[in-house]
Amino acid sequence: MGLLDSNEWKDLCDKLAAASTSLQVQEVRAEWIGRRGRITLALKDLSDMAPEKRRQKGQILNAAREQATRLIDERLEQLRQHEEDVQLLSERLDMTIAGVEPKVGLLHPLTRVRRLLEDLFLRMGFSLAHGPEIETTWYNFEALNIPENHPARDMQDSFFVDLPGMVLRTHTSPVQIRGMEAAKGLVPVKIIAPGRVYRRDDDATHAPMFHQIEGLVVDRGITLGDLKGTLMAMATELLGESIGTRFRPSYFPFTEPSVEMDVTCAACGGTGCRTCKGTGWVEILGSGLVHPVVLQNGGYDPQEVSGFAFGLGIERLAMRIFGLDDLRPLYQNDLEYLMAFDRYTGRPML
Amino acid sequence: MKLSHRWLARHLKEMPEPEQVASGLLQMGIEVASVETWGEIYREIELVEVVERNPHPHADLLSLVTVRRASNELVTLVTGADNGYIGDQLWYAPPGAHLLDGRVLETVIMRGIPSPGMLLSAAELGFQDTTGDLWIYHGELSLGSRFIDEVGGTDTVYELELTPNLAVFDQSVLGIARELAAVLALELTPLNPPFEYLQDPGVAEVKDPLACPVYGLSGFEVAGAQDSPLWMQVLLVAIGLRVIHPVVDVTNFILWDLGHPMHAFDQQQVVPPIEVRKASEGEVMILLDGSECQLSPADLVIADQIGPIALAGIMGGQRAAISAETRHVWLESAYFNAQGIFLSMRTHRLTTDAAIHFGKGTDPEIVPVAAQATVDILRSCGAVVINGSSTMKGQMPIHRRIRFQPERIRSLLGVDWTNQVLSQALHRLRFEVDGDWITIPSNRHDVTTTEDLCEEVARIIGLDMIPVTVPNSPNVPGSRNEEVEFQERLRDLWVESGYCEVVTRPFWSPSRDVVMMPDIPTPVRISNPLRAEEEMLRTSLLPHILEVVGYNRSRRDQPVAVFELAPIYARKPDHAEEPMQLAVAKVLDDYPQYPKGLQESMAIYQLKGALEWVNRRLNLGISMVPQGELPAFMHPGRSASLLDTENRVVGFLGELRPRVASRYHAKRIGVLSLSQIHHTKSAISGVVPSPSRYPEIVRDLSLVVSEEITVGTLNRIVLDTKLADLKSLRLIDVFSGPWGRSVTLRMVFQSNIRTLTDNDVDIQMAHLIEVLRRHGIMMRER
Repeated sequence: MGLLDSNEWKDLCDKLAAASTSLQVQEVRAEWIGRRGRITLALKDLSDMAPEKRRQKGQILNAAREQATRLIDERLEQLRQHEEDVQLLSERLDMTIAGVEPKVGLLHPLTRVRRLLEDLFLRMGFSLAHGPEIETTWYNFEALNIPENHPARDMQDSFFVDLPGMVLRTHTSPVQIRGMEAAKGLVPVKIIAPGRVYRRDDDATHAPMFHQIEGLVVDRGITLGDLKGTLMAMATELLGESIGTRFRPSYFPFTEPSVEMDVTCAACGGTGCRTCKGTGWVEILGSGLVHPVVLQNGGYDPQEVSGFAFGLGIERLAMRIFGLDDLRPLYQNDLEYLMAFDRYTGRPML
Repeated sequence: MKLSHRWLARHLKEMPEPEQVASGLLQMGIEVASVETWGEIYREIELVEVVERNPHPHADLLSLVTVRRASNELVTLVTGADNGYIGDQLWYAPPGAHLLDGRVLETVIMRGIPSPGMLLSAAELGFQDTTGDLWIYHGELSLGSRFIDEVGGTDTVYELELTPNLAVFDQSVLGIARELAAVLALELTPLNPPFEYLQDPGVAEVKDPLACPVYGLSGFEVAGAQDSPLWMQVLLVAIGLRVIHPVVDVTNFILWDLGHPMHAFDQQQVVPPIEVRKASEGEVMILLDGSECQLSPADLVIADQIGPIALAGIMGGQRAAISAETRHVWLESAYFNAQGIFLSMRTHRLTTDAAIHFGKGTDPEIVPVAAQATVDILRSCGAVVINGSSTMKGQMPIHRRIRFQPERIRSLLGVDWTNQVLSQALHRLRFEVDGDWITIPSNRHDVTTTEDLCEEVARIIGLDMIPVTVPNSPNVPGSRNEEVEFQERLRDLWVESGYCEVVTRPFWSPSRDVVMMPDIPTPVRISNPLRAEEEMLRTSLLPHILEVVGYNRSRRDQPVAVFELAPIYARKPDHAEEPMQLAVAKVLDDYPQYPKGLQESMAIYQLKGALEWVNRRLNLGISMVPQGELPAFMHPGRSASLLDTENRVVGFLGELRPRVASRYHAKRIGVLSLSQIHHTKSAISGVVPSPSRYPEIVRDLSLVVSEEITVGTLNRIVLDTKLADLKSLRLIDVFSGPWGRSVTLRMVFQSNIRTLTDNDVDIQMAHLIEVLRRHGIMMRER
């Protein structure tokens, strides 16, 4: 140290330690290494010394100056940090207050389920087809082998409109005929038709307007086995590998044979409960081989081609996926209810 | 349809367990909706003997009856019954026992005397006995026996749901028994032999053999027993039918047993011969239920020489109805054309059990069998039956035959089952294969094609036995069309903008109108609406969305931002159109929240901004102009018309008048209505500008503008000046002072080819300022 004895260093260190603001540190800086600082002045005095001594002393003084500079800078940085902390802490926010979430809406649960189904069938090679909601009775009934006197045509079930020969379609099945007509006799026809349908019903499990997805495959050599395989693949995709399926004979005027598909009850897992009336199964869709009359009405020769068709209710599937027991709230549009669907994180993911 | 397990046993030689019945029915396509045990409450009813009978000390019409129970315990009860004397055996319901009507018996005090439980009449047990008030037992059961022993134990009752095709032949115990016999390989009990009609002349005439191919009429004398046999009462009661009188009960029984409705007329009231004919125009009859039925030539009637005595196959008339005094009966057993009965049933809205059966189609071959079964039962219960004259008109229809095409059955089902397997399966369902032909059973009106036979084969062998395959056509990926894809993107973008999608029903009525939409098309009216406020289909979407806003606002003070993309419905002369509309609504009111949101008076810019963003993202090609025709319910100072690329008005955006908004429980509501939503091809630009490597220079320009000059105009002037390096232009401030309106624009300059100097920008700014000056727009001084 030489020039600066230990007392002097102690003096410097004490003063730095005592400084509580950066301004005070600057004062220390001025006292020691400023233009008139003690080390600075000592360095100036070197010019009067003999070269040998000057060099020797100069080295010492320069080292001391470096050391002092470092100590001062360190203390300065320390104090600046502290001052910043004080400043920032004065800006303190209550970080327990809920954040402002991004304002994002939500698709209606029926749209989500519809898209899930559409995407699934698109992957299986089906294309989307659509038809009008105000449909002719030909497309809605006769073409589908539902003659004039069929009970389904009673006023009780269908909404009629003031356009002669037209009805609010009671199912998406008319798109079977329209789809076949659009294909103009070419095979394969492989379409799904989602859409709104209407029936004169209004209770916890029936809405006057609801949504269906119709499926149709027409090709040479289509069999009931193909129907089973396709629908079982769909059920597995939709409800998971562990889902059980079974087929039961049923009746629809536009399919022959007609079958319904059941899947294991979601509520009890197949052991039997109130939801499934103790059977362990719940119906998910109706289907069958396309009736020859329907093929003919679509412009196909039933001796040449065959096909299968199926229809499933989007509401019913949504009730299963989201675990709902009443479908009316889906149309009440209470936003608190609709936005609560953002909490659904189950499988299938949607 | 209700099915009694015990009843089923009458038709099957060996009876399967209820579980087997259920699984067999399932395989055949018959849904078992519920299974119940019948008769549990009869376990509590016991047989007792009267040991003493005394008058009630305080009531002339009541008696005290003391009965002995099996335990020798004596119980004294108060009764108002006329019968029940010493030595009579009676049915006793002790305290705690349940009655049919749900009552639980207890000890009651009757005129000062306690009466524990009740001595029962037949009616109180659900049965019929005409011999007196209390049901006196004459059988072999010992004292203390339970009533359940008298009725043969409990029964299992299934509630079946039949699809319309199965209802053609399965709406009877016999039909179900045949199905089970086929699927479970059981043997059927043979039916009784047919009735031998005498072909007496002058009894009956069939004027319309197409409507009534087979008509049997047989006369009887009925006397003696007034009650049906207990075994039959038990079966009828178990499926929920009331027992009334042997002749009525037996026809009910045959209806559900064989699926064959029959009808009985009082001979005394009929002037023969009986005719089966079409009603004449204007003919009227009074039906059994007392209603007057206006007939037309579409209706088939059973008539005597005076007029109609029954609406054929549906309901009898009052004039020739059976009464307690009836001694001579005409029993009708017939086969009617199903469609005619179905139409009459629908026309007159008379869905009687008979009509439901005939309307689906019955088995002509059962006509004489049912007639004989009726006679047998009546005779067995001691209602003395002396056969009178009888006749059967018409011929049994010949069995329908169709081609047997085993190859086609195999190819439709996707199986390799042999011809033998197929014909054996069909044989189990009573279809008989004979070479290339197959004979259809007389009751299977539903089977006409090979496809129908496929269903039969699949049912009987089991759908589970059909191998699982997938179509072997090449799997090409499916697609949505561009329009649908576009609509889905539109939904996504509104959701991303913070709006919640809703789904409203399209039913509407002008009575619900709060806002009068401009340019609405002619509505499509619903002929049979569920309620008056749903009498038509909507012609615009916005009113629905606003109802959603009102519904939510009436429930809670929360922000509402909703949209729907859905069709509206426009009536054209001979068809309807269903164009898509978009409606968006957002409540702009400030609501309690921390931190505060955008102030209420500016909040409409959020909806406007959302549309601008969607417009840009989807190339809707929409421009907004504040001028132009706006609906009267819109705020005149905060709205804009929406124009498409050809300057046609396609909608509007803005605030509702606050007076209108208040109808939906909000101070301010921003709305958007947009029709003709589609890609505007001309606006499609697939080019994404490349980023520039050179630095930006930012200049803020504060201008004083007059109130007439909108920011839109100002922007236009700046952009039209076509400054060489102006990259973007943004409004950063607007405020008004005593000197006018100040608008501050932030302008960003950047070149794609070189670094701009301040001088480059200064030159462009100077030019711009000069242009603005010529429009009377000055720089703001400090």
